[in-house]
Amino acid sequence: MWSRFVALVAEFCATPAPPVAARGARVFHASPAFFHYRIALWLAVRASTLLFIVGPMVALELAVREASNLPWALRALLYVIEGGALVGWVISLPVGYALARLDYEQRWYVVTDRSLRIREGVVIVKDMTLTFANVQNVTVEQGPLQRAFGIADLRVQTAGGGGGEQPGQPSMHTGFLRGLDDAPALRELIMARLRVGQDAGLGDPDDRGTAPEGATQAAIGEVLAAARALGDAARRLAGN
Amino acid sequence: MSALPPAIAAIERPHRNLWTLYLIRALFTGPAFPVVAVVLYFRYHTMRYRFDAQGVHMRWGVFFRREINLTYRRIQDIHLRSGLFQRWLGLADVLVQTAAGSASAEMTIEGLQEFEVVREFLYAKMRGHDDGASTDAASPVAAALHEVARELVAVREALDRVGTR
Repeated sequence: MWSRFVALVAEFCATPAPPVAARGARVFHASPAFFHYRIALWLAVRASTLLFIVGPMVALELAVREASNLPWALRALLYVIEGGALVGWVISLPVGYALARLDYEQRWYVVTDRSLRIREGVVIVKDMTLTFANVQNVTVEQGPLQRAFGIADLRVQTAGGGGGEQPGQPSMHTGFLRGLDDAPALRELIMARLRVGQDAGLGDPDDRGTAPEGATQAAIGEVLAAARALGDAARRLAGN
Repeated sequence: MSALPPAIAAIERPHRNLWTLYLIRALFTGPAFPVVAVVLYFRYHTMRYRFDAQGVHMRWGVFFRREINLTYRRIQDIHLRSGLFQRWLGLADVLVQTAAGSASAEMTIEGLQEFEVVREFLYAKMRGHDDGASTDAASPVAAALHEVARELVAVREALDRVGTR
């Protein structure tokens, strides 16, 4: 039933195909524990919402019983509103679950030894690509609940300021890998690349085919000329 | 620099579905529809892309013209973003970011149905995509040192011939 639902959603949303592993890339989801963590959080929110619905309802009911001369129309209106709130709450259960599960299933991480791709989103699909050569810092974040589930978030930042697409969101220069069960391993992979790199990760123009400085180039030119002369002399000597 | 793939070099105008998308967006602005639609109409019709060996260029505008130029080597990260309407129209935004501190992406390549090809192309041009090993081998220093080594081998062979005589 779930897979048929997913197929329907994918059809309607024109969901792009999942990323394919190419050239030694590792394609993976967040940890299954991440899904459980999201569900636990969501259940807690749902439970507290129910309290906020049922609490006022009970209080209202008691108040209504006190005021016995309430017109019946008002009383009916009250019941309609209360009923509506309850029905809304019940409907939100499958919807919220489906959203959380879709978000988990359509969240992909693609990691190669030099680049990272994060694909996320159901309605708005976002897909971020960055190379480790541009990474400035890597942060591992873990709250108490996440620790209980054995997962951690990894934040990978490239250079450049600016806010997120909406206020409060992390900068668009941030790759956010949520719910990894082995965040330290990925952090090590990226940090190892950073240690090898000699540059600042800011697109230095000379980071390719290291251009030698003038003196070095002149010295190498001299050596080359000397070698050629020596070779010619030796060939002349051997030829005689 | 290697030549551009033909699929990339051929990109010049956005796909006409971008105009459809713009109309939908304009509809969502409600009473501002006529104004927004006119602005977006001109934006769509003047939008031009150019990919060359070093970078990508994008320009649009009639009264207020704007032209963005950025080089592949300065790209920090690439985002693909597509909403429902965009995916129904087969489009996606390619957001290209450099290390500048602007709040939004430095360049938003929109209205291309070949966005995947563009993303892969830009990714292949990014720093750190390869180690630059191939270009390093072609550097003038390496070439000179190879020639020095060849000359030294020739000297030794010549000396061998003199010695055996």
